[in-house]
Amino acid sequence: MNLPAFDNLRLELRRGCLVLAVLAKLRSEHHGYALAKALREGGLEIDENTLYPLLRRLEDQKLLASAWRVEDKRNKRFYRLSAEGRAALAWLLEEWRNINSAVERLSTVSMATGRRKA
Amino acid sequence: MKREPTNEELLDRYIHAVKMMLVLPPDKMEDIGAEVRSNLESQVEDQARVLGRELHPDEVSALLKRHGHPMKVALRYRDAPERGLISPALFPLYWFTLRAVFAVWVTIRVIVSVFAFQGASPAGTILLNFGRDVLLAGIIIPAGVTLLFAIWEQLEFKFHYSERWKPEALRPVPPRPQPPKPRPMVQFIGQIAWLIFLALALYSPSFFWVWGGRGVFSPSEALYATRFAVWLLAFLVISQSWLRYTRFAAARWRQALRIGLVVSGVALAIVLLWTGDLLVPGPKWDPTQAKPLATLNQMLAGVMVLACLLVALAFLRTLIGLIRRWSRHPHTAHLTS
Repeated sequence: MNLPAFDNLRLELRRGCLVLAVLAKLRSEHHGYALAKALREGGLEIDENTLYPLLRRLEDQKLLASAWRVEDKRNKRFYRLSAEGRAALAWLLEEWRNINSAVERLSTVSMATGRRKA
Repeated sequence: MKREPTNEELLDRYIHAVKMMLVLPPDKMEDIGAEVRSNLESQVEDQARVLGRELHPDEVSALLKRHGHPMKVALRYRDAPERGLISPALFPLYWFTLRAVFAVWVTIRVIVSVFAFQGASPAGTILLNFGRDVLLAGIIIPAGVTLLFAIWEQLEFKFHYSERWKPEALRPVPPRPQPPKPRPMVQFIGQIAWLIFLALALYSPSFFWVWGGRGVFSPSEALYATRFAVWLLAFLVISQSWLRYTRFAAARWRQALRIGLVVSGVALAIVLLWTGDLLVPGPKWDPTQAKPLATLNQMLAGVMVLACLLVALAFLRTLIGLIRRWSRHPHTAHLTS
């Protein structure tokens, strides 16, 4: 894709999806680095300088809870979904499915109309 | 010999630099610092596991470089939502205001400089003062406009004025201005009267004296010598407007005539300005009128210079438009009126 605005469009599209993916992954407890790895392995590359501040913001919004704990002789901060976070995740996933099916439907209709016109 | 920093020292330095740039309460700063360190240590461990050995300092250095400049890392942790001095919503208006204020200021300063030049101030001094003032304005105007918009932005952020609007309170749409009805006869009579007046003013000294100071002032020799050219130019300008009105000649010929008139008018104005004052003491010269005469000459010359500048700018704009049109559609581009 050579569009100069593509990177910005992609960034905008990913922003909301990242929050959803992070919340979904934190249904089980992870520390930051393990979470970044898990997201990467799941096909969602995320810069650590984006992930850590995002985790902090979600914690400020009471969607996550965190605690420092020693693992492998090192202090690590573990994050998990709070009760509010679980409710928010359910709501967001519902919203995501609605958006996804709407976009799917709209793009299918547009393509079919385009083919008829052609 | 200078000792290279160890892996631990590199990490310590990096974390310290990040913390220094956080500008947050100390406990929060420590917490973020510890988390960034934990993440970096995990990365170092991971890489060491893959390589099967401890990392060298240059490898840790490369890892830190990849992680980003401490300032960039710290900026991501700002508590406040990302907000500049002027928000993106307000920026287009800010940019427009900045350019408009600067343009108005430069226009006024150019006019003042032109009149100052006609007032016999040395050209070098005027140019120097103009350059200095433009430089100062280039600092003061952006600073002032930015300050005003920053205050507006702060107030907006605090009080959300823009959310308190009501559609009913918006100004009603003004009625669309109707183009003036063409009144060719009135226009024609006015133009003929103007040509007669100009001929009398240029050719009858007594008429000129009544008009220009009851014999105290007279036209200069240059103005006297070129009076036919001045009158002819006025006549052609008026004729040209009639050609356009009646669509008598093809557009390209009307355009060519207009260009010719502009060039002749500017050339004539330059010649007249070059020869000096347009008005000189008349047969009933009164020495107490020396200052009014000087002011009058200064005003006339200033107006002529400004007119030439405006005409030159308009001409340049038309020319650029023509060139653009021609380059886009070389086969269909033609001169239009």
